[in-house]
Amino acid sequence: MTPSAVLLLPGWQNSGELHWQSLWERLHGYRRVQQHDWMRPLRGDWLVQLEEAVLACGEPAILVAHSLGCIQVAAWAAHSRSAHRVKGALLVAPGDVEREDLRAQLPGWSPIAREPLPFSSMLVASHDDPYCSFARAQSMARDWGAELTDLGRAGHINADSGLGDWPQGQELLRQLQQLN
Amino acid sequence: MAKIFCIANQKGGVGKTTTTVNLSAGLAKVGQRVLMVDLDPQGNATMGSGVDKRSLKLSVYDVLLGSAGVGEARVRSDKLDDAGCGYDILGANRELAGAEVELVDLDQREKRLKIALTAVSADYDFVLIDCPPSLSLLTLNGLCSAHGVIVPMQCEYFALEGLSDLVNTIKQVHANLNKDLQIIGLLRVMFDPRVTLQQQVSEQLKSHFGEKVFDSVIPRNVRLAEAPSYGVPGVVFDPASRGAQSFLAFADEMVARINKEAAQPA
Repeated sequence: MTPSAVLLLPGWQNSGELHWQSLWERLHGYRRVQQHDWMRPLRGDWLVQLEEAVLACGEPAILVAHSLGCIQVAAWAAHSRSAHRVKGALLVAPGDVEREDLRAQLPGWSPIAREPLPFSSMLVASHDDPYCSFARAQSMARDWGAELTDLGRAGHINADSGLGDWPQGQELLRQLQQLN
Repeated sequence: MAKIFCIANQKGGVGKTTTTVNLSAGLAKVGQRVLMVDLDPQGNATMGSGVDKRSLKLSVYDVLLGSAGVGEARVRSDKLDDAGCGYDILGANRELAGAEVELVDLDQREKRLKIALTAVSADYDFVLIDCPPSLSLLTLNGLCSAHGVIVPMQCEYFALEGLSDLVNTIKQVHANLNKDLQIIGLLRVMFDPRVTLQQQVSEQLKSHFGEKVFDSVIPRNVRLAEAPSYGVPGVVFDPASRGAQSFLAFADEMVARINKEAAQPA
């Protein structure tokens, strides 16, 4: 699999330089799916960006999503006719956009698509994530048919979590690639 | 019940959006109740109607997906209301492109707009739909909703080629999805009578399409071109300009046409 077939899907406000997604981009040449507006994410616009990135891949893609990116993957997979072009998805710290405070900031992203994902997936969640309770992440994993990995107390599993280039995440990605 | 018209042409840059917003404003000025629907993710008709597409809380995207009704999503512009040309706006922004992905597996995907407009049909005399240039699911939603299509076209050689594509599309939609659909008329836009070729093409259009060619002609006019940068239709920006006056005449012609049709025995 070529590195450019691994599509990085950051969440709201994009992933900064020290976020593991940015480190993976630099270290391994994975491809970040760009959005027109990271600060005011429009769901429909984000879905089209993902659709176009998947269609542009010369081989089946692996999606590596963080936070709102996970919700984007579920929404996209629920409708897209291109979902068969995806080999698997690593979903990390999904943002609970149905929560009242987040719903107000991210209108248009509720409800979260709960259809089973039509490709292999793993969901990584933490017990002290400020944007999603562990129980909610568990229920998303169950509905999406994703294998759940419990990361303990790792916050939002982002740059603030002090993960560096997150070797455990890379191991999960390797396992995901081998599942197929 | 509202008369619903798409402003469509599969060729880009022919003045669809200019026609949509100026005809909307012109019809409003002569007392018609108008809803303008922006079906183009570029959102130019929204911006050109005095509404910032980035500020939309709900848009035609939400209506197509069924998460909002037209009544909730429509907005108005103070600038247009103050000028006596106010109309309701069902706006669009980039988000609308997502509907192409999300509508694909939904029931009655080509008829989502038609169903939504039925609920507000009694609120309006005219609904004008600005279609994108491509033949997409969005354009199909527009064509399935409409009683007719208004085709703005420049009197240039290649314009006729684009027209044959559109005519074929309309025939297919008429045959399979919307028995009401017909070309209401061809509107000559950006017309410069000093250019011989334009005169020739204009004559060709009249000989081929007869009464389907509107009497009104919209001249090439710098005030119409400047208006979008001020976020208003030319009819509001400079009502005395030749372009604005032409659109007001076109609005009168449309009303007369509709009244004439209504007076004809079924």
